[in-house]
Amino acid sequence: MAAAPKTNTEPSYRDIDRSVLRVMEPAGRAYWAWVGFCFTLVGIAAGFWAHQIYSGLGVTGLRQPVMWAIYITNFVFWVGIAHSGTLISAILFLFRTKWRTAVYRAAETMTIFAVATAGLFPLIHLGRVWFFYWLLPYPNERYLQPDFRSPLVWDAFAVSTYLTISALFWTMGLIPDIANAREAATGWRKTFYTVLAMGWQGTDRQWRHYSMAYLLMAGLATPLVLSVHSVVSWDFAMAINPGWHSTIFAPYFVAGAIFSGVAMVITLLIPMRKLLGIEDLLTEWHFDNLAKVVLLTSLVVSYAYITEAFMTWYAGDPIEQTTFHMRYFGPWGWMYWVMVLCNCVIPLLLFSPRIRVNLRALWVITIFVNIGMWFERFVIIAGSLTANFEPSQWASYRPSLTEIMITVGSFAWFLGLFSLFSRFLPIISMTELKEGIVWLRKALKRDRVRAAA
Amino acid sequence: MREGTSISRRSFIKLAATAGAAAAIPGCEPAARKLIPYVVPDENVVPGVPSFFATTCNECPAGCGVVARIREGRVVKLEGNPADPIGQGALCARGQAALQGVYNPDRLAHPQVRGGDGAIRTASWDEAEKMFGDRLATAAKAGKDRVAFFGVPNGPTFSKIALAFVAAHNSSRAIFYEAINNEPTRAAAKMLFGRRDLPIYRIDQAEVLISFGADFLETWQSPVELARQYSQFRTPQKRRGTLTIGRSAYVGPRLSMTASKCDEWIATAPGAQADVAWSVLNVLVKQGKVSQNSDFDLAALGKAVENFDPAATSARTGVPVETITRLGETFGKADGALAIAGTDDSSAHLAAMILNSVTGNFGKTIMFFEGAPAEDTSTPDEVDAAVDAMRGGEIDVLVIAGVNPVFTMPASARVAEALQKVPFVVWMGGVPDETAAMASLLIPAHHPLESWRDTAPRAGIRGLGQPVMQPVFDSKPVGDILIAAAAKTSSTKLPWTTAAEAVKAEWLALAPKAEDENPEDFWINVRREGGSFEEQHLAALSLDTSPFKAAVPTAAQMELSVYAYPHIFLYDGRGADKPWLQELPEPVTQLVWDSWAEVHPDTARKLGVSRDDIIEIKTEHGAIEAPVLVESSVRPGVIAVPIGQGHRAYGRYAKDVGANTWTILAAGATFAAATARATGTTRALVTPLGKSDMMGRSIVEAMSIEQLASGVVPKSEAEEVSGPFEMYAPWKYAGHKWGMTIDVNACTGCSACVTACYAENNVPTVGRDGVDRGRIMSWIRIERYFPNEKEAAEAPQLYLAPMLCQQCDHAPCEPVCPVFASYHTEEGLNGQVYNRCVGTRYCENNCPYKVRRFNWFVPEWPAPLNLQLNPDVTVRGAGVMEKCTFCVQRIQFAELNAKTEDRQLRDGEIVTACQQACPTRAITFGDSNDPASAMMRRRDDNKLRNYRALEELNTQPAITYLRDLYREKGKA
Amino acid sequence: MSTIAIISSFADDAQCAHAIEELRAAKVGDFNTFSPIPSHRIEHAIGLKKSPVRWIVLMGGISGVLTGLAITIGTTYEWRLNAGGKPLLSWPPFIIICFELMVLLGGIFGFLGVLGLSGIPAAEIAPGYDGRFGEDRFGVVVRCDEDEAARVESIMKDSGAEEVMREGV
Repeated sequence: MAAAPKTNTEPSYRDIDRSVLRVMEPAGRAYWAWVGFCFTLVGIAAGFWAHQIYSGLGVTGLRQPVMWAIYITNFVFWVGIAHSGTLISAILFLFRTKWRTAVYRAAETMTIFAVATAGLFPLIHLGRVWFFYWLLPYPNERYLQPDFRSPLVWDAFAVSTYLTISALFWTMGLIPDIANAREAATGWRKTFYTVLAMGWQGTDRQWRHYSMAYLLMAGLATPLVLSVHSVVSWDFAMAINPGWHSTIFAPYFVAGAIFSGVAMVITLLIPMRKLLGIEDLLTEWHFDNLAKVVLLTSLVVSYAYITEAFMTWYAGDPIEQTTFHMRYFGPWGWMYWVMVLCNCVIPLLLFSPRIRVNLRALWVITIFVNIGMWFERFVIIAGSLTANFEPSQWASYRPSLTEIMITVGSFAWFLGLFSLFSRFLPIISMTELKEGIVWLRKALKRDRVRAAA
Repeated sequence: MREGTSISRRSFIKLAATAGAAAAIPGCEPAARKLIPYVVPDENVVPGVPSFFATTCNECPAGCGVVARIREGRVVKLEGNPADPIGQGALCARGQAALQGVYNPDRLAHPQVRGGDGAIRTASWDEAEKMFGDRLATAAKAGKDRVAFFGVPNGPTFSKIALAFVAAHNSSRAIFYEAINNEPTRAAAKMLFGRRDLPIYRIDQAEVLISFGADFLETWQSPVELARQYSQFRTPQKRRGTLTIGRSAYVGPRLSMTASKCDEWIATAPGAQADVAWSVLNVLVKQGKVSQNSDFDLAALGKAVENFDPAATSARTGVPVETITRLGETFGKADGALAIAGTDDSSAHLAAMILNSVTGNFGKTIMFFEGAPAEDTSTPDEVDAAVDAMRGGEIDVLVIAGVNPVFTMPASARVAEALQKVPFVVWMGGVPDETAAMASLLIPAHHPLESWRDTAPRAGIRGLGQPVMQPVFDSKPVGDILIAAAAKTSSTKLPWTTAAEAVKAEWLALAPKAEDENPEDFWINVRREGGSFEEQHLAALSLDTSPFKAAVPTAAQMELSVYAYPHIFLYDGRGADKPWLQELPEPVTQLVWDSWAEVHPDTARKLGVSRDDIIEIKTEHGAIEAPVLVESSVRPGVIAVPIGQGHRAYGRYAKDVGANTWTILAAGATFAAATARATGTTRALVTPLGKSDMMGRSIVEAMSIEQLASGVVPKSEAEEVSGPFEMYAPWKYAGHKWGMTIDVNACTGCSACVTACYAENNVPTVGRDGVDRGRIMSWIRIERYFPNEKEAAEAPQLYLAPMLCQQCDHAPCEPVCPVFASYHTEEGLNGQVYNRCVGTRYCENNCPYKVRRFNWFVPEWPAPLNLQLNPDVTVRGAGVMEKCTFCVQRIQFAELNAKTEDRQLRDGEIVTACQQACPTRAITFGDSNDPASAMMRRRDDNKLRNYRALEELNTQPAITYLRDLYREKGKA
Repeated sequence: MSTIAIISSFADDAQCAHAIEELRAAKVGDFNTFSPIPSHRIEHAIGLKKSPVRWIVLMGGISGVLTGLAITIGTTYEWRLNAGGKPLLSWPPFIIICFELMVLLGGIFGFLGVLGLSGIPAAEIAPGYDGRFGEDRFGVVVRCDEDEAARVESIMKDSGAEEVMREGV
């Protein structure tokens, strides 16, 4: 699907606006069918959750000693997905990366919805979800507050902060674009966007504060994103369990998060680019760069796997070694090796520049990466619990229908929200694309040349 | 309050029952009943304060004394009666579970009548009693011996009543039946000493013990008492200058829990024990290791055992000559030795008794007392005669009370068929069982804990069983029914009008006849004490040496045999209706809620089966099917199957669980030649156990007595810990700091502690499926590990130790809890606040001992089981984590008492439930801030044996274990 | 004498910036600009100082840290519970909380700061705004006296304005 020759390689500001705003025109039946499908699945999952709340966590496959499994896996997985968004929108912004402008809005949107999804799982997995607020400090007659030593409380703070900050950052970016949409739109949409735009006019005064704040927000988001997944990793690293208690977890998890996140961005953008007909804004150049990030983080993650194994062998703790032996060669060994295949081996293909811009291949690879990363979390979380300190308490685990349906529902929830967004809000930042228009033009030319060849 | 007279207690109970019932309903449910305040407050009852009544246990013939804990009119816990010389304050799992017999939801609630069409219908008491009376009257008129009583031995007074009852109906047929009746022992005693009562054993007086298949720690004769003695026997002590422990050997087909606690397990085919026993005797005689004062004609003795030359026996049984000789020598040399037998042939018993007497141990390690009580169990012949009479249609009215012959009697006895020949069968009992299914009239009878009873387990010991609470159901005491019936129907009046009256009359007769003694005082006193326990005098034995002149039988060789042993918790099957016992893992196999066929790997290979494959086991008597368990804990060529499951009635908990092993046995036999074939189907055996290999981790540690003697601490594979590592200033525990010392060497694995915990802490049972899905709730469990190849050379045969919350100072579960539901109290407990728990389950993930339990569902106690719940302990709802807190409610109770009495807590004042129940006193609880406390002294006295589970994790457990002790191989 | 508004639009920000410099040199009237993208050229031309929103964010951050310290230390001492033998003041975890709150409040303050300073949400559109200014045109609106209008217009034209028009105010 190389850029069609007809695409204009000299897009003007107006062209950019047109392409983006066209996406936001009323959608067709197929679109609504898809959205409807997603939210039906969400409804079903909600039903299962309701049943779980009513009758107790016994409806899951959880047991002694596997107290955490798929729910927490999903939590970590979705938080991980979220990270690429902030990476692209904030970190790459600070680095003034050229190719980020076209993809960051989509990535950042993904962040919001991924965190929103992730945030559900700590609630879903609670034995008494109706008391979830006990994890937050609030004045109460019992004088009893959360224990700030507990990694779960760090989680509560980190994840909620992350959601808030990303949402604000995202909203800020949206304002000028929505102002554009406001000008173009008609009917109820006009009012809708007028309200959202909050009367933005792009005056020098507004731009002045805007740019400064945007910069600072990026500055805040950057350490935040690193802290969030470190905190998540500490849920495990702070425990004494063999397979969890490890000092490399924070960097290891952050790398893994960006790895899976960027992969997910690609997975989403490739079909979106086609469906929304924005090939002339999302060029192979963009994907090429995204793919490079995937490759890099894949290597980092592989390195982490090796370090983990090495440290276990080097430290010489028999219990730790037993657990890792179980992880590699135990009944769930196949999961580990699937993970290695997906996360370490397959991404090596991305060393080839041709594969990096072959969107079909790229799409398939990133799917594998997502599968691999899900397995990684599962192997670490549930796998380590099965082989604990107390051999008499070892046991395996099999997920129940409830857990599977809720997991499926979480994907539907994420995709549904993302689909809604893609037709109602500018999926690509017009403002920033305009700022970097020269690079876009270069990229388009390059695509054209490659297409010709 | 022990002194409350029966009147005042009854009156208060009547008033309290409803209130109590309402109070018992868990908070999460809407109160179903109105609270009724005490109209006349009973001065003896302070709501919230327990009262205690002494009574006796009726779950097996051992006859331990029991103290029942009553709260607001409901019995909530059974504990051993310290005044009783048999149990001495301890009570086994079965005894404690009697509670679930009282509150069993499947107990018969109303009299029932079976119509001609076999359909059952509910009847009124009047109708039932009338029907009963009429039938009795006609039967009595019809002729002699047309009325029969068939019941469980229920004490001398009850026997009197039963006999009077049949006599009143012109009959003499009263059968008192125990499925497990120790007949072989009695027969042997009869042969040698001309008396049929069971000897009294003193294992603690011996230094060598040989058990020929007697599972004396599980079900044999008097397990609680013998377990206590055995733990003393195995306590290290100086003998002839060296520190040592008693030498014990177990000869039998299966590594039972008893065998696993012995120095060595000598695996023989079932029935071959006698051969070995005689051979040991042969060695003794040959080596002249016989006490000169034994009245035996040694020449004749030697003659009798000449075919039992070790070589010959070894050839027949496969037991190494060296082993037999060693047994003989050690037994002969020992200053105090004891041989006991648990086989179904009296031959081994005979040999054992001769072993004891030729070594002059009678009167020392084994003895008879003067004035043995009248035997209350009928002989097998009497039972057979009665059954034949039924089959012969000689009986018109048969009263069955407390026995389940249809289930427990072998197929060969054809009881069912016999019962069909009896026109009118009256069944009296609690949960309707297989026998009830054949009865024409079913009458709900009081549970033993609801009725007046007494026991006479042995000379000098009479236990008084008094009702501990108002009946739960609309039932009557069997005694009362019999007396009433007799009074109505027959001319000869019985001397009493109720069983209660009968018991009192009997006991007043026992009262000392001194002038100053008021019998009523005696009556009050025995009710307070739970019976009368007198000094016992040795009986002078007159030895009849004729039997061993007779040729001694030797066991037939069998290709494949099935060996049946009573399930430690289900006994002869009467335990099967109690969820606590069904869910209690059998200590050696760790299996629950099922029957199983335990086979050796070799046998499994021969049969071509593996774990969970269902095999059909066929003997000449019948066939059963059971899933296979492949363990080397059973001898090749033997299929070991527990007795007790396989009920086809007997309530929701027993019905259709496993297979009835009685059906494949001959009368009185424990084994039979068998064939086995794979059925091709499978059923997963259910166990809470993961791996059986400890993998060198310091969970259950052991050391050899030789190491202990030479002061060497064994080198464990686990990381060495120099001492507590404190990263920060350690917390100060100003007042008490509770701790526990657990002697693994004393622990037999009997699981009495586990049941005690279930009862004390309202721990729910989760059923077969629940256990299978890893949701068993027990707060304390018996860790069971097999030594692996590496360890096998120097390890006990089985690692058994209780594992419960270690109350760590550096508890990993605490800092991970986001809401302080898990925290550390000022007294060093690892507290768990159920109401605060939100159910993240992080604590259990982080608990290295995996002793926390999560409520996956709302726990259920089908009424009236919920009446047993301990009001002092919260009933946890779904979604919260729970765990052991050293019975914090008991700690609080004691501390409050001390406070109100304005004094210091005394050491030993707080007794945790597990500690209280332990027959071997393996558990000691106390204040680790008080070096003088028994708990701390026990640690200090056994410094070399101290270890803490998984110590290298630096969790700083409050529990210190004392290493198990074993004897290095070749030195046994 | 009456003031009028002169609205002129430019195709790119360089011309726009030039025009602004001219205006400021000529010291006629006051003006404001509309642009589809933040343009540094224009900012320099206008010669604006750095936005004070920086300080607002800083305030937010600091208050976040203080809140963090307050709740962690405060609640710990409100009820001194022993968890796992850890000291009451367990700094490492507390720092995490402080950090998260710093980011949270910093961000929130910053966002509100922008809204406040740049006067949104605004009910009505400022005079002279035109949809194209959001799209691809840079606009300058000059308010001046009628008599200066001609001069302004010429400045605009000279700087390459695509169109210049008058509007009465």
